[in-house]
Amino acid sequence: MGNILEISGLNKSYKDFSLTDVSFTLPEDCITGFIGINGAGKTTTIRTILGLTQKTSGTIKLFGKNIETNEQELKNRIGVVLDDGRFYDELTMAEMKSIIAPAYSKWNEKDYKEYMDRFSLNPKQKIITLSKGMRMKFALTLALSHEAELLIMDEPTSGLDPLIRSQLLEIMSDYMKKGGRGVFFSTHITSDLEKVADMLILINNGKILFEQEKDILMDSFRIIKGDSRMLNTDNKKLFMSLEVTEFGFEGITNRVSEIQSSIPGVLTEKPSIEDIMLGYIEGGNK
Amino acid sequence: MLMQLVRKDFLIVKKYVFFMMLLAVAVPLFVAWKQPEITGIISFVYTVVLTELIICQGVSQEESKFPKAAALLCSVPYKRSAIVKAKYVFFLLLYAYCWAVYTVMALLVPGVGAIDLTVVLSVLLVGMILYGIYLPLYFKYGVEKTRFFFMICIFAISFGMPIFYNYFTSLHIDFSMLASIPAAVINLILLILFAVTLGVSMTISIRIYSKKEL
Repeated sequence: MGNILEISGLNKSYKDFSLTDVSFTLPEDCITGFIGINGAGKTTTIRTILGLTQKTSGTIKLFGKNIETNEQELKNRIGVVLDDGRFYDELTMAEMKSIIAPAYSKWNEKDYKEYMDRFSLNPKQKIITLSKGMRMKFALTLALSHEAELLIMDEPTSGLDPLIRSQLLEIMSDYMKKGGRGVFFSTHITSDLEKVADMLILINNGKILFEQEKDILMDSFRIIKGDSRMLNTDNKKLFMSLEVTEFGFEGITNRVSEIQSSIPGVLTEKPSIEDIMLGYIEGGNK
Repeated sequence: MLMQLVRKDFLIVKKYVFFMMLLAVAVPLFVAWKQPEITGIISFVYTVVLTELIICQGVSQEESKFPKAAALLCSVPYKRSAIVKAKYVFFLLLYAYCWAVYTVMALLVPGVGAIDLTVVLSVLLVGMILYGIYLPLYFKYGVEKTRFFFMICIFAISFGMPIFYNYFTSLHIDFSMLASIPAAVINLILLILFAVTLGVSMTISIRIYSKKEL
């Protein structure tokens, strides 16, 4: 299985924020969730990959080729869904499509019409009259209608109702069925990733905290609950994050067996992706 | 690809581009009717100013309403340089339209003064100088900081032209030296100056836009 996207040593500085040595890879045939809280650097990373902002240093390779030297060729192979679509709202969907479609050498009009029908979108309708969900569906239609091999989506489910989010996730799964493809989508709604993601990458304060297969991540961490009187200086260090109240403690850890040896009788639960994410972030803030 | 981006500019101002293009027909007629003494070069300048500069500013205004759309355009396989070049092609197409309409009006309507190639190239050069200064500033600073540029140009040209024309003629400048230069040479010089202005402006605009954060 090859890598569709390889980011290495990516740095980008703003006055109050920096991406610092961001490195990760997206394997083929994987849906990769790019998670982080607001302001973590998800959108900045995606904008840098797409060339919407200039990086300070680092390399970005798509399908094994450097994006700086093969920009047009590689963008032809990427489908992009940006937050809120980013359209000229005064145009109709047909007019907007007539601007975007000629940019792609492999534009597939049949696929475009199928997706428009599937999403019940009327091409003659003005974009300004579309709901948030319909705008996202239209953006997805454009992204899926040119035989893209990689789908990059920046917070595609943000602000959408559960039904549309579920439909979007289903479409992502369908998209992956053809093989040789990848999806990279950023979100802070981690519950969506639990259904579809294969890989997870967490970013916080411009730095990558982990890059891991979702199932391995979920299996290696546990939420531990117990009597706070059993905590001591040594076993507290085994937790990534720990909350102690007068009623007991709750913490998240990937050193379950050590804690069970130190504190017998603790309760263990499987964490959600959100629990793990917050555990990393809060643990890092100590 | 370039023509799709030019078409995009027409699409985003489609609400009033048709009206402005009718204006290109109406202005020469109006001037011939109301002020026949300034028909010819001045009438053509008014046509170009009112039609072209207003539409070009309209495009800038509409683009500013949807700043994120530029990000979408740059994330698909359009080159940033093509997006810049399209602006200049848009300007030239509008100018060609103004010229074509004026020429037809001059042929069909008595009183609409004909213009020769030297006038066409002179007005094109002046327009290109103005647009060539405006566009790099627009790419660098955005529409908010450059909106007054076009407004001042349109105002100055619309109201200043008759004043400038009368003042210029009152100077009784001797053009016999210029008259001795063949028209073809003058036209060639104007064309070269136009090409240089276009090239320099486009190069600067492309450099600015290539680095712009979207």
